[in-house]
Amino acid sequence: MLALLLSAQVGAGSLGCVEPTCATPLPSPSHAPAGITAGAWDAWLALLHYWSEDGEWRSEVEDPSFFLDPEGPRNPEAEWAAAVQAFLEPDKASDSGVQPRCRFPARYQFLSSVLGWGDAPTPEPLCPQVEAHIVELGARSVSVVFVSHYLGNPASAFGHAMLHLAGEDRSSDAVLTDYSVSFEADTENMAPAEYLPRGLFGGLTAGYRTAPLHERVGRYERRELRDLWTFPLRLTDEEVERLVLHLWELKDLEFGYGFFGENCAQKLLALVHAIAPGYGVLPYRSAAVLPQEVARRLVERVGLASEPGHRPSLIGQYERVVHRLTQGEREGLGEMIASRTVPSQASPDVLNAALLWSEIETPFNAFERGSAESDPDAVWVRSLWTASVANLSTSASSLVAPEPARGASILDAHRPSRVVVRGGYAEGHGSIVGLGVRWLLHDAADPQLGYPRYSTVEVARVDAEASISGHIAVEEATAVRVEALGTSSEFHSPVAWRFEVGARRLSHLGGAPLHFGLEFALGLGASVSAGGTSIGFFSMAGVRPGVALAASGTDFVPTGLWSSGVLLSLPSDVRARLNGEYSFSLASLDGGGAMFSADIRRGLGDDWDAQLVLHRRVDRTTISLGLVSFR
Amino acid sequence: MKTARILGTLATAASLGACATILAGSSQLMTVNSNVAGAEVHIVTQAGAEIFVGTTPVSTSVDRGEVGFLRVRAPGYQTYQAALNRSINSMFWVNILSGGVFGSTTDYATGAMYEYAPSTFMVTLQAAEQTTQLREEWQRREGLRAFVLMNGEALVTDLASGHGEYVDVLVDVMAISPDQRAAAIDRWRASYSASRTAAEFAAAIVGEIEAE
Repeated sequence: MLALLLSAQVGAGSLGCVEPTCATPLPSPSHAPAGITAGAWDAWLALLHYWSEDGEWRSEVEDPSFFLDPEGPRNPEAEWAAAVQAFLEPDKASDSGVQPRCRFPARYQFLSSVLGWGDAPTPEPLCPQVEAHIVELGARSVSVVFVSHYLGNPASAFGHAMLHLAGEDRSSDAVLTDYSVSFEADTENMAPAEYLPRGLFGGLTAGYRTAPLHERVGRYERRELRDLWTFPLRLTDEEVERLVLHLWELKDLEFGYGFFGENCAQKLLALVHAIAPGYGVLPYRSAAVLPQEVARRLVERVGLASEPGHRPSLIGQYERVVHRLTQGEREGLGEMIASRTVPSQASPDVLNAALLWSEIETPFNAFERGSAESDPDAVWVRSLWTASVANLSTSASSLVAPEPARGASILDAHRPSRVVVRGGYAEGHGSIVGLGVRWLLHDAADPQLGYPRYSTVEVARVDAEASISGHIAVEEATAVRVEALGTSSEFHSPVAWRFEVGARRLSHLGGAPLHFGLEFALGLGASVSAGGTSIGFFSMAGVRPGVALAASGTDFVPTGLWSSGVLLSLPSDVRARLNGEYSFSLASLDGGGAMFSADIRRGLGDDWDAQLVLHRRVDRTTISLGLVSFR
Repeated sequence: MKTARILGTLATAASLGACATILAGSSQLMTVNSNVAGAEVHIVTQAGAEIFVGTTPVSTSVDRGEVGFLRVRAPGYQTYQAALNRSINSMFWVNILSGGVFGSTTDYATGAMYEYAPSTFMVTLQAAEQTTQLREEWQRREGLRAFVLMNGEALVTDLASGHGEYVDVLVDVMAISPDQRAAAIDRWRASYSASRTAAEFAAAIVGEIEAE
């Protein structure tokens, strides 16, 4: 589980505002070659990914093949001069045998425009591979796509962001044949023990990878069962063209990948900044460079060209079909699934729902006719399909596709950082004030939109209280906490689990001192929902080896835990988490203590919650009212 | 142009199995299929000793500790060989795109391999004779086969109702005109009904462009 946490950034977001994301990208115009405007010089610096460090320039692209001058990685003026010279000598091929104009078409196009070489959308002499690249991608517009958080893969816990290069010459609705661009680390064949530290401290290689949209949609939407939100960006035709040419320049380059700075989210900002610095997507000063925040940043700075789109996961598609069914049809569907039968009177919608269910639950069975005798699911799926086709009362050409699904925008999801200020009463201490700060990302009582339900992914959380008498105490200091507490769908495993590293107070220890340890708990969860109300239950047993930080000293106290709870969500945006815990020493197996807490919230809109906290442990009871702000 | 682009696009479909290794555990049952029916499948040790011989499609139990390479060959085709303990997605990318529109500088490949269902692999052999036209046809054909294999579940579900994005892709790629759409869908349904495996279904679809 440590692996899960440490690897959460591989392919996800960057924690921390680090270079070059936060660097000052604007240079001094005095560095620009004579006669070059400050704006043109800024564009040059952006296109070559330069940023300033201690007053000096450095490109985030470290691969020397990205430059025409040996000093290029740190000297934009030298690179400018080398590029001008190389582009004006078309007969002079580089060491690789490729014409500089064909190796760096975006750079050539830019200089051609700035220096008045003539409007040449593609370099002359003709570069057939660049031409083929342009035709291949066929991009006419660009969208940023956010792929929802996914706890099933540690690399995806913080979600993912990529670009969709949409073609407008589409003769049908075959959007899946468009291309997508993603910054991805190469972790294949690596054991977690290898790629986790490298993902954390750097050392992975990564790059901008281009792939057909259907490849990524298939993986995210149909296999990992994640939602996708698409935001068409208001880039100009020239910017889209420059992006395509710049992708050619980047296509074979290797970048570093690490916990700080170099991840899919940060690199997406860097890519857009490179081709359109005027939008000011960099510098980006934020507590965290996360995929969803990057999508928000691009939408805010570049603007939306059209309405956002939402692609529900395969489960969402199934639920949409089921929603259209009558109660009788739903009952019939349940019986079909349970008995693996296909009633002759089943409607096309019921059969469609059953097919979607089978794809979620029994993938790869649709084709396995050859193993039918040994696989009743395969027989059933075949029968479903045959019945679906046979039941169609109209010809295929007259069928009307359902309306595209619409969903709430991920941009309405709460921000990842959180500050809580509360005041109340603590038994034995009188009036108290509390302050809670969390760097990332989400807990089970936060607004659920855009996050996995009944889950927690938190990094760096501290809660402290101070009484009027001057007593100040840290109640919790969590480095990392990840929980999957229950389910809201028939397709999820009922297994509930929690992994945690940090310090919190445990009731079985005298005086409830902070206990710093590593905790792992495992159990079961379940949930039901109807009419906008959902309720989940969980119960887990766990162990927590660690050190009790008492005033009298520190003791190693291996601890056993049993915790159960309820998660409630009402249509009126009231959410609650009720949690009970019994802890005991694993060394003595006696002297246990119980604790109860309730965190009740009411959404106030625009990233604010009102909060009521009730906390009861062995030495005191606390009740407080607070205000939660997401930032 | 659009069709050409899409066909090029499809050539990359099979990297869906990213991060997959041919042998994921110490021992597993693996199925090997090929674009050439009856291709010879040889499994050999690191030292070159042959421990299994069969013809596609074939299933066999393999032990990671014993085997070294998978070798697939057929008369008139280049022999394909892959180390069984390595990742396959990058191999597919390199091989099927070499010389393609991405302008890879990789030498001519001898085929490609990808996983389209758990422990079920497709090996695409290339003809021994190589011309630009043959390579482009191979890319087009095998890209389409990969799309059908990798997205088979979604495609079949779409075919059942007669609409959906995956059917749209097939209609687009196959350059089916609107007035021919219903007939094409009926034809693909019939192909699926007559197919015992995903590979057979994909072969039927690919057969349509081969017949063009």
